[in-house]
Amino acid sequence: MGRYLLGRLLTTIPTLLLVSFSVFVLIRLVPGDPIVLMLGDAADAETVRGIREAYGLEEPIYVQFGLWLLKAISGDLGHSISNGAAVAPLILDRFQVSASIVLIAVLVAASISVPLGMIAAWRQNSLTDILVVGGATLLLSLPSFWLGLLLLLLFGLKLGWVPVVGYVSFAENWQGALTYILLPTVTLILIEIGVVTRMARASTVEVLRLEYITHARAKGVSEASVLMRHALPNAFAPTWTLLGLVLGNLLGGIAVVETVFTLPGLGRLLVDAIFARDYPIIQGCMLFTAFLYVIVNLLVDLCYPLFDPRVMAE
Amino acid sequence: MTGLRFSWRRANAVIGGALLAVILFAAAIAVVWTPFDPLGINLRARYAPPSWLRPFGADEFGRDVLSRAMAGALTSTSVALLTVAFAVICGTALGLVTGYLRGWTDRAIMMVNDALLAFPGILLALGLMAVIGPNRYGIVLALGIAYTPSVVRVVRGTVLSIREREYVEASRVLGNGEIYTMLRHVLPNAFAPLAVLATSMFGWVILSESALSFLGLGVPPPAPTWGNMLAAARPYLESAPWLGITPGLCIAATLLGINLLGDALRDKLDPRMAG
Amino acid sequence: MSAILDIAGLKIGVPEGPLVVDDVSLSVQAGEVVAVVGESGSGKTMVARSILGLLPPGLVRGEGAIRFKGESIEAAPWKRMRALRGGEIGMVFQEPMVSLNPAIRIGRQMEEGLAIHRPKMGREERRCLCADMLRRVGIEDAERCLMAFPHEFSGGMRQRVMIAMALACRPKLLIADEPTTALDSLTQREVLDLMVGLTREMGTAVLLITHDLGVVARYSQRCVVLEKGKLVEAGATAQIIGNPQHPYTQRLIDAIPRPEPHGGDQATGAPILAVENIAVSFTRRGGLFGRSSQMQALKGVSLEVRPGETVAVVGGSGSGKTTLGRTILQLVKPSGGGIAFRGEPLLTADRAALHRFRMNCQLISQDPYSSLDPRMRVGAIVEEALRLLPALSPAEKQARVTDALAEVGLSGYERRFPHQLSGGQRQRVAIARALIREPALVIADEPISALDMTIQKQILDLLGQLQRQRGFSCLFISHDLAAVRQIASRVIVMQEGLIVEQGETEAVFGRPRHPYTRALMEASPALALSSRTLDFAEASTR
Repeated sequence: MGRYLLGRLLTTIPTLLLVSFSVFVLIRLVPGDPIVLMLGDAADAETVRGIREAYGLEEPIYVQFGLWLLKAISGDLGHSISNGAAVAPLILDRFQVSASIVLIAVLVAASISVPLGMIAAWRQNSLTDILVVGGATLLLSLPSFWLGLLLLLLFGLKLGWVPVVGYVSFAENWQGALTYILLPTVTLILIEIGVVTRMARASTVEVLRLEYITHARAKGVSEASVLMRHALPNAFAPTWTLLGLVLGNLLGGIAVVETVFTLPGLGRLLVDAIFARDYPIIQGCMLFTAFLYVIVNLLVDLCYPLFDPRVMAE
Repeated sequence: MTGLRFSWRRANAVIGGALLAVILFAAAIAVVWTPFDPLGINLRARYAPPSWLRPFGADEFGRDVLSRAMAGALTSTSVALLTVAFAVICGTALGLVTGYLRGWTDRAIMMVNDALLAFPGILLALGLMAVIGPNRYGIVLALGIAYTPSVVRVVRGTVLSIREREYVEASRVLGNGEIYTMLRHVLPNAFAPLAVLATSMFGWVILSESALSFLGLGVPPPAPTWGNMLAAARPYLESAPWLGITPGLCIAATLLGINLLGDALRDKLDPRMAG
Repeated sequence: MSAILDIAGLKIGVPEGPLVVDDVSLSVQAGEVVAVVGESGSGKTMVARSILGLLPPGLVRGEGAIRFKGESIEAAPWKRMRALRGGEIGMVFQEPMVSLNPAIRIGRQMEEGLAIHRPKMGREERRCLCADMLRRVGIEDAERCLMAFPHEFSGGMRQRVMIAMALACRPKLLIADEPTTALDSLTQREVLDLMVGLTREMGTAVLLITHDLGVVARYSQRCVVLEKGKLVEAGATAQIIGNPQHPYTQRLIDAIPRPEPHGGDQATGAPILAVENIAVSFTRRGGLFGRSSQMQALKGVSLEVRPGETVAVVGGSGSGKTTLGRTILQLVKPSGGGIAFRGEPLLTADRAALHRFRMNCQLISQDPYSSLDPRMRVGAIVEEALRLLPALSPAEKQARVTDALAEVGLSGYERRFPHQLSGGQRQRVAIARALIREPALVIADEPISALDMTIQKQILDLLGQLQRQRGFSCLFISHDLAAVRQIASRVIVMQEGLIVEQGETEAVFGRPRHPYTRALMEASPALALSSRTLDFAEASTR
């Protein structure tokens, strides 16, 4: 048991190192001198050289990477080029907005989808199944930004139930904040219901045809118990892994939804930084999101033995 | 059990195939003909609502939405095809090499591959677009690089499992060389999972490309894509809703078609999953 | 005497489609073991499953009556059926590896049935009963077993757990569907002895589904023979085995391998294959930090095969017999020892010598379902073996493929794909592929164990006949002692990577010296049966 957990924890370290290295190298690939990019065209050659030395840019690349990584670990992601603000607090601030939407969406979508998918699988090829799978595939095929726009058009503009533009933080006014994040959250919930329901159904279909399910029935176990006690833990394992991936992908692609609803989230921060060529912020956002993704998947894997004790044996 | 057995595979293949056929047909037609010039500004037709002449209306510059949607179909599908081709070719080559060589080369390639997989696909594409800058070939490159690691992973896994099969062993016992065995027995049998992956990847790329274009980081205007048409339609959501509905509908129809076709393909190639 | 189970005129099939089981009747008396025998496609499993209403989706029960202790249960209401399942009728399944829920501890899975059928029983009492049942099936550390997950046990142990679980509620009838097919022969014997012993003690009747006539003869009092869903013969087991009436039953009995006289053609001359003191060890890596451990699969094995003779290697699972074959074929690298082919050492051979060996040594492997490339046609599969033969025109190759397929009885099958063939036909293709280059040595690794009984006989006969015509040597790796006795002139018995006994076939089978050989022979029901039917046959000719 300890070995599985420890092994999984330790494999994360090289991944995190390589991820940070990729982010570091990516920004170096930008054509042109990073200092000139940082300072803008106005900088004179003397200042550039001074800063190059100050930033250690004359050192070999791996030394530069080491220095950068050490600073990043201690929470220093540098300063924005455009307004000089520290990047790390900025990211954390914006992250709260994105995280609240994504977390609520995944939790709600999972609690709707898993029972729905299991019932569809249990009644395989019935009308219920066809409706559930058809509906899920339809939802899965809607681009989030379009669904968001349609919801905005209907509930914001036509019906006027929710505000169309703006944001207040939970700390200021939590009821107000709820009205702002309601539509974006619903958008993500609808789309993720499509993904998760299909997965839950597929893995339940797989499990239901296995011999131990027949064996449980042969012991006289009721159908409800077959589903809840025998099928659920086994069918939930792949869905559980998917939830980790979904959470990460939502964080990575949150920018479009934040754009539709003009929310000041992490995704919007990254996109604005790309437009402004604000490389410290780009670097910080990518590093933060990728780390988050790795860690979410690590946590998912660490909990996996709860559903499938077999992985411990390896 | 009802007497009439519902066939998921047939229903999926027919509906999915029809949807995709319409989109691909529109894209193919757009190569030679569109009802109006998709870039042609016509100030008299600004915000023209749907009519017989312009079934999907016209935008803020009086450009015909149907023509732009058709041209957008051409852009989106060609970008997606190129991207998938890029990812499949690079991914298959790398996957074959790692699955075949094993040892240190395999571990090194897979370490980098896993690190790239540790980025959500769209985030990696965003980062690459920041470096490359928005243009049509840049997006193919960015999305291609972002999606190659998953191909590598699938191909390598398949190769590792197939090379343990008894018919591969039989080929070795016959005296056939490793490379012959790889190309004659391993690669053809790795085709099925690759085909399923490539199909769903086509859908992901269409979606990612529209998302990037929607953010202004994909194919730059005035060239029409469904994503940048949607972005341009945002300010006129209430006054001219047809501007936002048409491109979104196109994306959704394409994705639905691909998802259904992908399900049908999976059922056909992997009979275990057949409903 | 009243029947515990009485099935009359049972029909099972696809709705408005073909019947899988057509008009089968049988009965089981209290305390009796009744066997249902048949090959794949006989519908024997479906008969067993339909009793408790557990048919797979797509199949439905048609006409026919099923009575349990006089009560008609073919249309029993849902609630009654659940009370019967597990409570009065227990069931043991074929695959112990997949029949226990991997996510639930064994104790909870065992108690679940008791909780349903003995609701008045207290928690503590249930636990004691479960532990007691586990001890009765020979699991010493019952308390620890209750807390364990199924994956922590081997197949044989899991099947014991399954039996304990099924008998915990003291059912009146136990349905055992091929309970030991997935186990190796030594374990098979232990588990079956245990199951039959326990049910006799408890007075439980058994409906035993099996394909193995040896098992039928050893454990059942009466048996029913099914062919393609139809009942062909039923009666007392001794009667049916000793004096089968129906042609199909006769074919089944006839398929049991018989010892054939060898020795007339004593192989002489220099050995074609000489294996000397070969050792193989596998390294098991224990994760990132786990110390890697060495597993010794072969610990110094020497043997010789002379031109034209068949040498059998027998042993249970884990004996190293398969590794031996793979090492000779150069698919596994040995850690020590030497292999010589026609006097030429192979382990230090250059490419040309290795190529000569490859051209002259072929493999027929166990699983005909995975040994043929699913994307190639039969003709191409066989022709591939000629690829490396120089100086053959396409027309000559074509002609040789046609001949090779004709020899194995598959004329005109060139354009088929493997999935369009039956298991026996696929194994014929594998034989054609192995023999088309006219090798001097053929290594057959369990070539018949995945096949039905009557097909086993056909393949065994075909191999023997081709060998007489071509005169190749054969290393026949098998766990099936009866088949070995029929085909091999010499036998090598392996246990845990070592040779424990070897000699002329009849000498070894007649006077086994090593205890492991004796255990293997006792555990082989078919072997006992093959000598018994011989006695029957002799008795009837007198």
